[in-house]
Amino acid sequence: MKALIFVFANFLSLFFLSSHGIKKGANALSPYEEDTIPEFTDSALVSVFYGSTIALQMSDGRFMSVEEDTGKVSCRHWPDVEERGIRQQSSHPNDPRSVPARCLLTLTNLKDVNSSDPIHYGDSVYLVLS
Amino acid sequence: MVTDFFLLFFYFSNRSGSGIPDWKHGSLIGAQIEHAPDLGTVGLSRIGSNIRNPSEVNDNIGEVHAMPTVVPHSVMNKKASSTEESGGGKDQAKPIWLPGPVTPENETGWYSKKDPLYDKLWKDRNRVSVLFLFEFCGVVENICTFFFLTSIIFSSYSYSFLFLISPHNNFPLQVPTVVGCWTFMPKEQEKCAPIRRNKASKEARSAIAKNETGSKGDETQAKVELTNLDEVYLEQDWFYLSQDPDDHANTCLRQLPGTNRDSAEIAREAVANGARGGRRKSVRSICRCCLLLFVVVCCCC
Repeated sequence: MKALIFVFANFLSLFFLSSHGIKKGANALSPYEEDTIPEFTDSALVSVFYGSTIALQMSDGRFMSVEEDTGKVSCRHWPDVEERGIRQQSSHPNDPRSVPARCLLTLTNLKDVNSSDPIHYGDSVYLVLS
Repeated sequence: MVTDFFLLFFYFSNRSGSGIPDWKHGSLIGAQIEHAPDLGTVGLSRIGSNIRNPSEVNDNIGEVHAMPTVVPHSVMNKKASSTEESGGGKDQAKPIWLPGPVTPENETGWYSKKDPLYDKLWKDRNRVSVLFLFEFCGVVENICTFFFLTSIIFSSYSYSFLFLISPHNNFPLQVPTVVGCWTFMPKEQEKCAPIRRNKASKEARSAIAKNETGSKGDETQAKVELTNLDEVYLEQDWFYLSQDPDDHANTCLRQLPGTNRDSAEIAREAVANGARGGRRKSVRSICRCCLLLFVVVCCCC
């Protein structure tokens, strides 16, 4: 049991970053900065709903990402995330500075694609790549 | 790998579908594992993993790949209607409304099937999702027939079946859509137990209920909302998504700790053994009665 918790704590601590909230990285010098997207909130206790866009961050700071060339799911460091914000950076795949991967996921209820209900632990959720 | 999936495909082809008319060749079908006896051993680390069979520890049972998929129109209709009307049948399926541009003609921005823009919106919507496909590596021989793909995947963009199932092709993410079904689980094990119990089969639940009491309190804990910055892990049946402990840039699928006999199969066996035990008891009691009667008769004689 201890080992199990160890694994969870070290390899599977995925932090939710839901899709509403404050802006980060407004000073980033990017040709895409005019297209600034509202950054994820860093507020806790914000419910996550179906339809929310999230990023999953490991406990070591990496983000769960999907490689654009292979489609493989990997764990990537996203540089400049602290300055620009993960949503801003990952939303511009054509930006030369960006990482060739995607890490934004939309939570979908396939049984009711229009659902915007809050998600509970144990609910089955489809991860749709944004 | 391809052969394994062909086996899977063949297995599914023997079963009746759900009646969705726009399934086509190349569609990927979901399945559910009913039982997985002797599933490969998976430890928590390469060194010192003694959770299951210590002689053969496979801690990495596969990789996760994204896949292009679309959801058939009829599935969306059916699913949407089935949740809105709990008592409704298949005939009561209603087309869903799709969000679109807000125009002077359509100030709400929602489009029904009657609108000319609806088909375009539907195609655009389906172009976005991605399915996570699992490529099992080490123990694929043992579990390929039990392997599932969690849901309904379709290729309406002229992908061949081989293209869909091959994890080695270059996957152009700018093309369609993917959906992979995961369950968000809390980090604490005591909170995971009631969730898994609710998802377990009837036999497994009944077997657990005999041994445990006071599970109602646990079940109430299971309906906790996900909130921002929660620590979670993604689970799917017997597996969870993990970071590769040897190469932190990779993800892998790992098997949940436990025994190899923690599926519904063990519950069925328990019930069967219980029934057999009852028979044995009755046989024993009859034998005892006969023996006692024999002794009494001998004494009388």
